[in-house]
Amino acid sequence: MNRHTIASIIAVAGLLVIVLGSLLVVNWHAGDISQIGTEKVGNAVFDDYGFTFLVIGLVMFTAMLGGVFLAKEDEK
Amino acid sequence: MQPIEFAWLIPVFPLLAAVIIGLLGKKMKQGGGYIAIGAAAISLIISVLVVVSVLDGSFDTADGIVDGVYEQSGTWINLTSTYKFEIGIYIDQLTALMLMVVSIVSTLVIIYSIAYMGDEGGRKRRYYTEISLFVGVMLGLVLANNYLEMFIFWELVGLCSYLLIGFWYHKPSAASAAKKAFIVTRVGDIMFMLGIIILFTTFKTLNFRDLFSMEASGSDLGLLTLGTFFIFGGAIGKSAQFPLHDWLPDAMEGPTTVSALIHAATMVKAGVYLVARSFPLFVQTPETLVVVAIIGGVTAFIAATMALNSPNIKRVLAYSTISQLGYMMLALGAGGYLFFNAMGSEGYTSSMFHLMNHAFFKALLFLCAGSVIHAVGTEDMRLMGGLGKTMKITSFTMLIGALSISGIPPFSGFWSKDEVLAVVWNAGSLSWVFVLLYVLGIATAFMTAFYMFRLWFMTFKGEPGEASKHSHESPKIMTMPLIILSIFAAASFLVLFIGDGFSGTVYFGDSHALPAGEILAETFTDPLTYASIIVAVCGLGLAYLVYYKKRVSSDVFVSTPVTKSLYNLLLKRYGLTAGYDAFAEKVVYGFSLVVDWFDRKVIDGIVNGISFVLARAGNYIRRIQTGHVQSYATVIIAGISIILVLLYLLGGLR
Amino acid sequence: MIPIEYFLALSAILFALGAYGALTRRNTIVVLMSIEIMLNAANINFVAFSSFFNDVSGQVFALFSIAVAAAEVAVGLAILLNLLKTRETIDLEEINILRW
Repeated sequence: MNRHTIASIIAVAGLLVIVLGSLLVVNWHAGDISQIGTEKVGNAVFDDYGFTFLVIGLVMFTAMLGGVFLAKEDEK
Repeated sequence: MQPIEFAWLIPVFPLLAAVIIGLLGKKMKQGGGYIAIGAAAISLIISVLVVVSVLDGSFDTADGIVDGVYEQSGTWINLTSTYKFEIGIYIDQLTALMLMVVSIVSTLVIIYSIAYMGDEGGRKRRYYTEISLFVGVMLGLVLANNYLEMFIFWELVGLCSYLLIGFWYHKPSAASAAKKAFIVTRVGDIMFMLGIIILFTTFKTLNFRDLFSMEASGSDLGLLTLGTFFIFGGAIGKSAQFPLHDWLPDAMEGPTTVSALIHAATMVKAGVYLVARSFPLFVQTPETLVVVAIIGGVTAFIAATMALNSPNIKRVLAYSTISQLGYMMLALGAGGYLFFNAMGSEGYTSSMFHLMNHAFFKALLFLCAGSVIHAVGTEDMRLMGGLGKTMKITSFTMLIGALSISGIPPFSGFWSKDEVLAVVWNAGSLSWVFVLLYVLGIATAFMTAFYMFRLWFMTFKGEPGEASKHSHESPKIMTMPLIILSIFAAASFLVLFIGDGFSGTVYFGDSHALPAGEILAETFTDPLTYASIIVAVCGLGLAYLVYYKKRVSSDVFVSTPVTKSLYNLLLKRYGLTAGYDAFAEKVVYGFSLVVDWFDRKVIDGIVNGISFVLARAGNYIRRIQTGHVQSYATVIIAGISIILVLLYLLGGLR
Repeated sequence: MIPIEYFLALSAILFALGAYGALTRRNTIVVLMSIEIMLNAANINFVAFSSFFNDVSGQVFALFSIAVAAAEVAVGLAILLNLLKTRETIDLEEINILRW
């Protein structure tokens, strides 16, 4: 148990206490769980957030390319 | 266009000459001496015109005259609406008197210096620059209309004195005499400044006209007493009164023309002028007046004792100057005291009359001494003698000067000295202090006659000494000013009888102009007059017996151990010079060592300490940077928690 | 039936656990996994709010979050491979050259 472990436990515990404390105190005015349905989510993605979907695709493509390139071994 | 409106030009011409000679003097003939004479002469002409208009009354009807005073002024610095500093001129009869004296003596001395400083070579330019500067600032001091302006010129005059005393600065004695003069007068200047500050904060103004029309009362009177005392402190320094008299005998290291102009006729009079100018303030504070009178009387007596046995011709004249200045202060003090008790103000008039006469005969005596020194090459009177045969004009003019200063009638010195002593005797009826001062004054008159004629007999009569073998009369340029000054010295008493007379022109309070016959009658029926005449003749007679007829040997003065120790005491100037030196070395230097220790250890210690602390702190704080990423991340998480708490506390979140 | 606070508490605890792991573990791969746990805790939060307030954009955002997390892990692992090549170790305690 070195110093760093203790410090991190304290920091994380502090964060946990604060977040838990604040969210349990607040009145969320929430109703009941309602099932939205996968069909609605899919429609929302393609209708309202279509552009974002395409950009995310681009991001994943770039990440794949970048990952392959960064992990390449030098050829002898 | 009245000539008086051009009065502000009077100091401008010599100052301009100083600049011109300073810049271009190397190429001019006589190192720029003729320009200096020209500027002084122009100032003289304008001064004469101003004085004429003051005397014949056209002064009273010109513009700008209020209460018989001509004033022109402009605001220099405006601090707030109540506090401002101005610059201007102020002309009344006292100013006219001083203008006359300063410009006549300056012009004659500069003419004389053409011949006296003839062998100086390249240094002449510096001499004429400094002399013209001096004449300019002295005239400015006389014309000033408020204390601040007068103080500025006062300091400038002190600077010129320093420059001129240390003219031959390669001589260590001259350099140190100049330094001493500056520092000792500086002590006086600090007191003057204190007085000005007190006056300014109490009365909110430094303008002469405004100050003199106020009447202080209550707590203001106490502050006014303090203020006038400190102003007199400035006068003590500049006019070489006891205890700040020590610089004047040493100031004789400068050229004789400088001694004649500055330390006999003009600069040292500035202190007396200051007290006379501030007379409306002084007459409200009798305590200061008594101090003025006492210091004046004591100085006169002490300085005369020191002159009795000095072998150096210029030193004797320097002590004589201090002594006569003491007379002037004594007259002002006693006269003011009389005025305070509503018994007339002849003291003011007699002091100013003595000032005028002293300027003429002391300048004459110094210039004659310069003529002698120029001819024989030494200042030691024991090496001189028998010069009366070869230097007839010098001998005769110096005789007139000596008779005048000793107070032998009908020369001018008699009239003024007699009036001074009469004023002191009248004040004696008010307080026993003044009776004591009168006794000192009479004793001083005796000693004055004695030492002046000792000087004259030792120099001009008797067997020729070692140095007088190749003496010759001085050239005309030097003897002409001597003759002119001797006419003034002999005949200036006539101003008592012309027109309103001196008493009707320069007065304080009420004029006491009397017709000529009455003046003569009053003077010669008063037994005091005869007392002073007898005393002066006794002094002359004693000098005659000892130094001329040699009936009584001069060794009688050092025959007994008592007199011998007294003789040595006088030569050492009562040990005051050594005392001041020891004080400066032990106390002042010691204090400066303490201050130096404080500066090095405490103040530098604080600065070094701060940097030391910071360096150490840095040494500890650098360990935060561990290079371990996860510790940084820990700090980030902790920071987020703190931000959340702060947001909650400061109202960001509900 | 289940009040929303339970979902949010679950999310908070998961986040704390993920943070603990990211700060404490010496193996870099385990740190990357803990970061994944933190991201998933945030996703749970989004979905919970989306269900209870009948708003579909929460779930859409969670979808995109998953995608970005995947991209990030890919790049992270590539960097880790580079780290292994240069330093011969993936122990975070040993990688501290930028210190005092």
